[in-house]
Amino acid sequence: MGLFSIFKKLPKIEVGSIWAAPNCIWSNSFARNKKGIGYHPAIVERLKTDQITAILTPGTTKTYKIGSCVFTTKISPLKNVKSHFLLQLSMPYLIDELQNHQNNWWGVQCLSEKQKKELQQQITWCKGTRN
Amino acid sequence: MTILMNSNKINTNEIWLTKKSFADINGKDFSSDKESIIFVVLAPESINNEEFVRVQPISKQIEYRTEEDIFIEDESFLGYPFIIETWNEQPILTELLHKKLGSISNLSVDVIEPSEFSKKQLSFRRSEIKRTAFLRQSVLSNIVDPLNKVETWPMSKVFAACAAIVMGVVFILWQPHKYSNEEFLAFYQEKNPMELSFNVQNQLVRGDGISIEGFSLTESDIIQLALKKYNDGDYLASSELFSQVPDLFNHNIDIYFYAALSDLYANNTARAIISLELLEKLSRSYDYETSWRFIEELESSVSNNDVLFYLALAYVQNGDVRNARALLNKISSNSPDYLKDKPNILGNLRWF
Repeated sequence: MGLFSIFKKLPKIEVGSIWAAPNCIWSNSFARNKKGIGYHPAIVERLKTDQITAILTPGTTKTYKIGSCVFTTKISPLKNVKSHFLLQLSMPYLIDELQNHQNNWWGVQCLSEKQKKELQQQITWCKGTRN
Repeated sequence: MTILMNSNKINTNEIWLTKKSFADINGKDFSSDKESIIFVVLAPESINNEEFVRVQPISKQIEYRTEEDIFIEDESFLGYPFIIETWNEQPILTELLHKKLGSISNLSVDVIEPSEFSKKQLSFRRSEIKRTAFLRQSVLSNIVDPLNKVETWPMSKVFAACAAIVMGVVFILWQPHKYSNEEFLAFYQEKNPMELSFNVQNQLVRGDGISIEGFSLTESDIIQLALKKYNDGDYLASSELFSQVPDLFNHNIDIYFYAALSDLYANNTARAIISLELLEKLSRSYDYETSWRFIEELESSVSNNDVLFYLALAYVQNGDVRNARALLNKISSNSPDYLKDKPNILGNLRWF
């Protein structure tokens, strides 16, 4: 196994894991992650049984919406700073591509067990059992 | 805005044709090879003053469908049978919706997430998720984290950084542009032998049977012989002879200094360091009598800088380049002229 393969296998994709997702997912030659586009935190909300797809929920410290479809939790160590994950903006993401990103946001790689339960509760309130 | 104009017209269960291009919130233009057809599953909502809907892409590649697709055989909607990709549901800005193609009423289909997929089905899913990235990009452009501190590096950059760090560590350990301690001493010790001062040379020409002040006749003879050996460059012998004279420090600092140098050049490093540290301590003593003694006895022949310089060499001999560097820096800042005939001495000293 080459060194490259070892590095590639390090990130663990699981429900509740937090990723630095680029604000631009467009991946053709004309707009591939242009410098300055930036990143936002994204949580793996669900893993599909096809094993190639994760459902990612984007988040931000900016308060876009307040309501039952926002999962608000503490990730940043900064005082009075919370992250808001916008459940209604969840979207499919290929696991292969997700592994190329950083599994880390403010040093946090995954939600705690308590946070995971709160996430699932919020998803149920927002989406019912549709998912 | 287009979005607001459309918002009253967009409802769930409607089929829409999307645009091929759009400008995102940052003014960047995005284009797709062709339009997409989508099925609206969530009526417009707002984000960051923009409206979005949740949609499921539609495809006519019905042969790749699974139980998680909604299969519409009725050709009256689009002119062909199609599938609604429930597994590829995503948000898009309503701005992207171009033309309503129809709606499906009374759609009540339970989809099941399959546990097995054929290779073709997986390949189809992969390509569809990539193809529809154009749609969800419209929403992603709007998500900005004000505390965006994390930057993802591609693996090539990670490896380049690792390689640079490894090379840097090797370079620091190796220090190829520095002298080894042995080379350093060979260069700077031999270039700067400390000649006997005038006062001390006088002891060499004194007559037999005349003792040096503060010493017995025998001790005076030993000191005279030691000074001769020092003058001849036989430091091993002078070091041995000086060591036979007790309490040299308290009787004659001038001679004590040459005894210390004899130790240094004879590689009696520990003794040289002890003697030179004692002199260095004396030279910066605040005690009036001791400092005056140092000035009185050494001022004309040996300077404070001489003591610091040879103590630095003794430290290098002992492998203690950190303390050596501190002393040389002290000389460099206090008396830069002193190091003029010792070219690049600080530059040639290893970091550790």
